[in-house]
Amino acid sequence: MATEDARYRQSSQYRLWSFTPSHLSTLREKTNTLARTHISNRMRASDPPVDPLPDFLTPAEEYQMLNHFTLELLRAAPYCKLPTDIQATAAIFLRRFYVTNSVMTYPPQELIKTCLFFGCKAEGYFMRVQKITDTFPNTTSEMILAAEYVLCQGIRFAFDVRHPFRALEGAVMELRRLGDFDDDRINRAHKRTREILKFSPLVTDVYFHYTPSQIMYAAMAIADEGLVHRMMREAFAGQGEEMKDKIWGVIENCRAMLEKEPPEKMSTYWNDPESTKAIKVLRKKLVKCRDPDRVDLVALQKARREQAAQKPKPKPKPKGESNGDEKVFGNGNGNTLEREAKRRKVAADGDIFGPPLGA
Amino acid sequence: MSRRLATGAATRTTATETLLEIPANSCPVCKRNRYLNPDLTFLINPECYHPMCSNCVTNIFSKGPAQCPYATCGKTLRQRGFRSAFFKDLTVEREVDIRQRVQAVFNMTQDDFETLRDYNDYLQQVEDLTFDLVQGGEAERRKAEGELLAYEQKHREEIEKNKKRGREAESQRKQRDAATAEAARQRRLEEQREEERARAEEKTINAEVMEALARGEPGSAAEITERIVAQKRAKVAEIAGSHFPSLLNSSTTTTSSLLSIRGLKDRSAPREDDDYYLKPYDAFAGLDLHPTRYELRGADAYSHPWLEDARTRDDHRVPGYSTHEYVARALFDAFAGLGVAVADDKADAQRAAGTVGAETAAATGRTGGMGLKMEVEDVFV
Repeated sequence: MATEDARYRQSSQYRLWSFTPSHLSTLREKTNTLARTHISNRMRASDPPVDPLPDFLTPAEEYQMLNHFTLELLRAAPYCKLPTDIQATAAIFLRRFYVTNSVMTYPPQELIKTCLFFGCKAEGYFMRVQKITDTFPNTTSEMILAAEYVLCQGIRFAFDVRHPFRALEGAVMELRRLGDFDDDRINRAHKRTREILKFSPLVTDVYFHYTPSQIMYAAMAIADEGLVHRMMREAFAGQGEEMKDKIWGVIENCRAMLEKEPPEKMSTYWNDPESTKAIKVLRKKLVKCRDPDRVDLVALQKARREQAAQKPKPKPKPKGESNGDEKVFGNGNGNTLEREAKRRKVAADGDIFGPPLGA
Repeated sequence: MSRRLATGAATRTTATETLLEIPANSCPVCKRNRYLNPDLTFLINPECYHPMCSNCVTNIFSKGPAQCPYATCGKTLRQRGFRSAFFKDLTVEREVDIRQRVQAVFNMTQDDFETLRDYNDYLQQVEDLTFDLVQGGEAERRKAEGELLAYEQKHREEIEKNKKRGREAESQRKQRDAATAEAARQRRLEEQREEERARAEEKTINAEVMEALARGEPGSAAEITERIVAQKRAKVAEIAGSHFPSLLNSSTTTTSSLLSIRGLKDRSAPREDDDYYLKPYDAFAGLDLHPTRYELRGADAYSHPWLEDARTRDDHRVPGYSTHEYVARALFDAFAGLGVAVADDKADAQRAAGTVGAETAAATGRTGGMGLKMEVEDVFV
């Protein structure tokens, strides 16, 4: 095995965030079903109970919503004047987050801003929350920070996103060095590939199914197929046609996915009456079937903070009643017990990422 | 040895007849007597093995080499060569000396031979030679001596090498023995402690029975006693583990079946590391960073408009920015993971659910199938 591949296999992108298409769709379906059962339970338990239960979003509709909000994120990012790869990181964070969390559970409008903010952090481009709140209307820093931890957990703390952008520069440099093509052709292909990479991979699932270099070559194949063939010859020199053909097949598949979302869509999408109408319908539907407990993340976060702040202070008890055991093992109120039960549950499950949402 | 014994015994000569054993009371040379000289000690010289007292040695040989005072022996001896004998029987002393000498020369080990057969043949040859030296007649002895010397001359380097290796093996063996002894000592201590604890546990039985009776627990006294003894027995067994099978039921002798075979692994453990210590130290533990799909040339071979400034302008160059780093990283990115087909690698990820599944996958050596449980605990519960 090539050392380059061995090194890529070490990355969290490969280990945690690469799936086969069927696996990804099962994950999304599972997330959807879990969210449905949770929300319907909560709605029934609420006072007064919601009756009849609203229509829930289907996995396909959720995916449509996710794509819409990814586009929203990409539209919003330039207002913060962020470099390309940070925009891309934020977009990928959003897409990864909604693999295991439903659109119905956590509101995507809020998550977009958190993703942008946290994307900056993850890429080492430190930006004040204040700057983002100033850029977008009706936003407070609490709103951004409230979802931050949920986001980190949702992306399984895999903050390193491997992008195809630098790979493109590498490929272009190698092409120039080989000197088989004139500079104009390379530059034209370079520009077009960059355009594609900035948009198409982020609004499709290619990051989940292909490696950055494959995405880059697929995008380059859209721009100029000849260049890709030359590079493939270079890369697989002396390794047999079979491997080369296999990888070319992979790149072709990736290209087919990318071609569905050409970069021009970024401008046409917002004026397209059909898509806006469809989204409007979905948004209306979403408002009805949202998780009633998760609408206000800020309040939740506040409650959680308060809870955490209260915990270390045990209630002072009258001396006569004080029990030795309680002194040592905590004050035995409901919280500790609950936490203890949770800890036991996690330990028994034997999984560091905790029990499933349904448990 | 047995093969040559008949001939050897038949040709035994006068050379070995005169030396019998260290005399008990009087020196055969000066006739000095132990009765008058309580500190009489006898010395021999490996040239001829004739015993004489230490006074004789000083008297005769202190002025330089002289002939052996025994009548039939014409050997010239030196004082330096005299030593006290370990064995009383001097034929044995002589044989041991010869064997030591032969061993020092023929010091090859089984590892040096291709087959066991070869090694055995070699041992046989050596033994024949030794036998000639020890038991052979004058002619045989001389011949064997010649062979030994010739061999020593010819193979001096190899002998030296083997000797060194033998010393190393010896020191290793000593270390191992020390480690085993230490482990055994620890084990004994541990067992002793356990035994003490078990005994202490046992002693409390009576007190507890009395207490239980005093509390008025249900059942007759015999029942209570039995119950408590059973409890204790379980506890003692727990303390003692398998290798200390209870003091309580000493009537049943189950000890014989519990042969402990500990300390075996220690012997083999350092062997595994041998290889590691012999290889040169590698800081990256064998990690190969050499690219296979491209050849990384000097940074000047690649042109990029973004890098022009960094190459030419002093305010970029002086702080130490190296365009080579960027080039290396960009090229690595361009080719990294190109041969990874996620669809194939992750095909079995679906089947194994959860990180527990991934663990088993890792244990069975499948690199691609990282099963993942994607559900995450809800933070807002």
